[in-house]
Amino acid sequence: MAVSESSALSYEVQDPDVRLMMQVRDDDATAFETLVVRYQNRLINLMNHLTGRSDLAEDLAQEVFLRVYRARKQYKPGAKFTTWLFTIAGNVASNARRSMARRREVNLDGRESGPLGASPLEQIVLAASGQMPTRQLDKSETQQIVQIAISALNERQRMAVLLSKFEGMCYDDIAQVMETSPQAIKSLLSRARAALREVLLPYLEEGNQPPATNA
Amino acid sequence: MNSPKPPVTDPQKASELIVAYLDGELSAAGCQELEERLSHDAAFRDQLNSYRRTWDILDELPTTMADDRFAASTIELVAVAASDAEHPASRHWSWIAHRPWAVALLGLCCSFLLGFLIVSAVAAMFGGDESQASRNQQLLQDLPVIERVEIYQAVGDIEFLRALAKSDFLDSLSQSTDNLKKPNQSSAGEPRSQSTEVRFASLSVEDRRGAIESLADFQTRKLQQRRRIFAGLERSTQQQLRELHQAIQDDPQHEQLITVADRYQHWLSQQPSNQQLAIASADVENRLDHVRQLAADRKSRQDRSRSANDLHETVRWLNHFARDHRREIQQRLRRAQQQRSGESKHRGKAWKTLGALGAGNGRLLTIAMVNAWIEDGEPRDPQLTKRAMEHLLESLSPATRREVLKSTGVKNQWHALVTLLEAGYAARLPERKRASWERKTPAERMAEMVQAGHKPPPREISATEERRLWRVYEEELSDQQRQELEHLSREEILERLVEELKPRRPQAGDPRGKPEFRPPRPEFRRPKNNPPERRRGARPGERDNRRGRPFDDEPFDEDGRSDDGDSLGDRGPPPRDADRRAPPPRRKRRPPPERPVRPASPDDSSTSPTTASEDSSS
Repeated sequence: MAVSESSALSYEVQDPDVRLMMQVRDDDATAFETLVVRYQNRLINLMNHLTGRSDLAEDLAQEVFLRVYRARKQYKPGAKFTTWLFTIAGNVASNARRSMARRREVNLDGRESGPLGASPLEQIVLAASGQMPTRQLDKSETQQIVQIAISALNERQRMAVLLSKFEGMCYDDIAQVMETSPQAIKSLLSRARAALREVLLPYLEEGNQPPATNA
Repeated sequence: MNSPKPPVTDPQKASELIVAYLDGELSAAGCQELEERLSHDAAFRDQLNSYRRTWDILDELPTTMADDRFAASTIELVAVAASDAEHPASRHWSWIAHRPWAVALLGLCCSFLLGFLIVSAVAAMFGGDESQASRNQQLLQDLPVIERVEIYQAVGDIEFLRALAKSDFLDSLSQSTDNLKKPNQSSAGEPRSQSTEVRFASLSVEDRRGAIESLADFQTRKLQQRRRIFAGLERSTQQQLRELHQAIQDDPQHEQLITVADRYQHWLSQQPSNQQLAIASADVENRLDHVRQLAADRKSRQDRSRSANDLHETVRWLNHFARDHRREIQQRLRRAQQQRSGESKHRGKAWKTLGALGAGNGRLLTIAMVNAWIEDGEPRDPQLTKRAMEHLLESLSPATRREVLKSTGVKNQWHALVTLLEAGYAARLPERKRASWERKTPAERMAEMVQAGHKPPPREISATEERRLWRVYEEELSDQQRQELEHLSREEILERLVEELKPRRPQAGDPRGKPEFRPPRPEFRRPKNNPPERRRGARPGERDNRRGRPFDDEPFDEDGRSDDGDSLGDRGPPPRDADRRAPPPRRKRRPPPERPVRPASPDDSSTSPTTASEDSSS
C-alpha cells in the first residue's frame, strides 16, 4: 500500500512506537529491544489465545519479532505500529495453525488443543453445566469456561475479539489488521459476542437463578 | 421535521447496534437513539446487559507473562539473523559482474558442475549415490539425539543423570523459589524442551521423514540449529551422546530421566559459562556436589539480595508512615524530652535534638517512631493498624510475607518482621561487625537498620545476566582489562562490567553511529589520577576515587553512601582485612567452551542486562 509522506510523518509524530520502529529501520538495536520488551507480553498472550497453545506462544511471538526485524527496511509508517505488528502476528498465528493442522496435531479433547480441536457447543455446555453444582464462580473454573468460549469462536472472530478486548483497538484499526472493512468488523464482532454470550450467559446466570425461573 | 425512526427489529442489526454502542463505535445520534430505546425497552436493556457482562468476564482469561529470558533470547535470535544477512552470497560475487572474463570462466565451471551433477543424478537413479542416502539415513537415526543435543551435552553421563534423578536437588531448587513457576518450566508449566519437541524417538525412522516435512517454520529453524551444533561436535562426542540417548531410552524410568535432564539443562544454562565449564569438567562422582554447592551459593546471594530489598522497602514504607503521623511522634518526643531532661543532661540533649530534627529529617523521625514502638513493646502511638500492616507486607517479597503471616495479630507480625529483617541484616554484615551488632540494644539495631535501608540496595544481577557478563569477561576483554579487574571481588567485577557495558548514546556527528546488536567491546576508562597499580595496594574500605565506591564490601558502603560518622551506626573505618575476602577466581584465557552457547533458541537464552532482575525462580 502506497503511503504518502504526509501520512507517514503524521504517524511518526503521533505514535512513539512508530518512531521506535523508524529507529529499528536504521539498525538501532536499543530501539528494537525496547519494542520487544514493550510488546512481548501482549504478543505472547495474543498468540496463546489465538492458537490455544501456551507452550508455543513464546516461540510464535519470537517469530513475529523476527519478521518485524526482517521487514524493517521495508517499513513505512502507513498506520499505527500496533496495526502493523498485529497484522504480522495474525499471519504468523495462521501459518502456525495451518502447520499444526497439517501435522494433525488436533487433540480431540479440545481442552488441550483449544481452537484446533473445535469443541462442539454441546460439549461446551456440558462442560459448563458439569461445574454448576458448586454454583460458585470459582476463578479457575471461570477461566476455564472463558477459555472454552473463546476457543469456540472461529479464527477471525477470535482475532477480532482479542484485538478489541485486550488491545483496545477501534474497528478501523482492527479492519486494517484483518484487511477488511470496518463494517465487516462490526458485524464480525457482533456475531462473536453473540456466540460468547450463548456460552457464557448460562454459566453466569445459572448460579443466581434457578432453571425454573429461566424457563 | 424529523419523525422518530422505527426501532431496529432485526436481531442481527440490534445486536450490531448494541455491540457498537458498548464498544464506543456508535455515532452521537446513534447513541441517543439507542439510549432512548433502552429507557423504555426492558428486553433490549437486558440484552445489552448480557452482552456487557459476558464481555467483562473475558477479563478472567489467564494472562501469560514473558519468560524473563524472552527479550534477551529474541535479541539473540535477531542478532543471528542480522549476522546471516550481513554475509549474503551476492556480496562475495559482486566483483565478478565487472569482469567479463570471470563471467566466462564461471560459466565454464558451471557447465562442468552441471554436467557432473547430471551424471551424479543418473548414477543416483541407478542406486549409485549410496553415500548421500546413508547420510540421510544417519540423520534420520540421529534426529532424537539432535533434538535434545543441548540436554544431552549438559548431562553428559547416564550415571550422573541417574544420581541427579535420585537426588532432591531439582526439587529443592523449585521449592526455594518465591515464584510458583518452576525454573525449568515454561509458562505453560511444561518442561521447556518437551513442550515443543517432536519426540522423534517415539517415531520410526520412516515416520521421522514425514515429521520433518510437516514441521512449522520455527521448529525447522530450531532443529537446523541443533543439527549444526551436533555436526560441530567431534565424532567421539557424537557417539557418546548417541550412547547416552540409548541408555536413557533403555532405562525403565526414561520419561523421568528425560524430564530431569531437561530441568537440569535449563538450570545449567542459566549459570555463568565458567561455572558450566567447571561442572562439565568435574568427575561424575563429584559433579553433583559441585552442582549443589553452586546452587547453594546462588541461593545465598539471592537471599541476601531479597533481604536487603525487604529492608529497603520496609524503611521506605516506615518513612511514609512516620511522615503521615509526624504530629503524634513529635508530641511523644516532647513528652519524652520533658521526662528525661532531669535524668541526664546528655540524653536530654540528644532527645531535644531528635525532637527538633524530627520535623525535617525523615530518617530520624522514623527512628524515633520505631524506638517508641520498641519501648512500648508493640507498634502503637502511632498505631500500626491491621490495614497498614497489610499494606506494608504487600511491598515485601513473597517469602518474607509468607513468613510474617505465620504470626497472627499486628503486634506479633511486626515483631516477626523485625526479627526477619534483623536476621537478614546481620547475615549481610561483615564478620568483624557481627560482634558489635550482637551487643547492640534493639533500639540501636533498629536505628542502624533504618539508616542502612534508607537507600536502595544495588540491583541484583540475574543468573542469566551474570552468565552473559562472564562471557563478555572471558571472551571480549583484553588481558590488560582483565588484569585490571582480577583483584576485585566477584560482585565488584560484575558491577564494573554492568557499568561499563551500559549503552552509551552516540554523540551528534559520532562516526560510530548507532550501536550494533553485538555488544560493543567494552572500553574501560582509565582513571586520570589513580592508576590501577595504586589500587592493588589499596586497603579494604578505602575509597575508589574513580567511582566513589569503597573497596570493602560491607553492606552500608555498597549503597555508595558517604560515611558521615553517624553515631547511630557502627561506621568506623574498617580494619585492614585483606585475607577476609577470598581472592577472585583467576580466569585464564581459554578457547570458547566446547558446548557452544545456543544463541537463537528461546529454550536457552540469556537475559539482557536491561531486563528486570531475575526473580528467585532460578
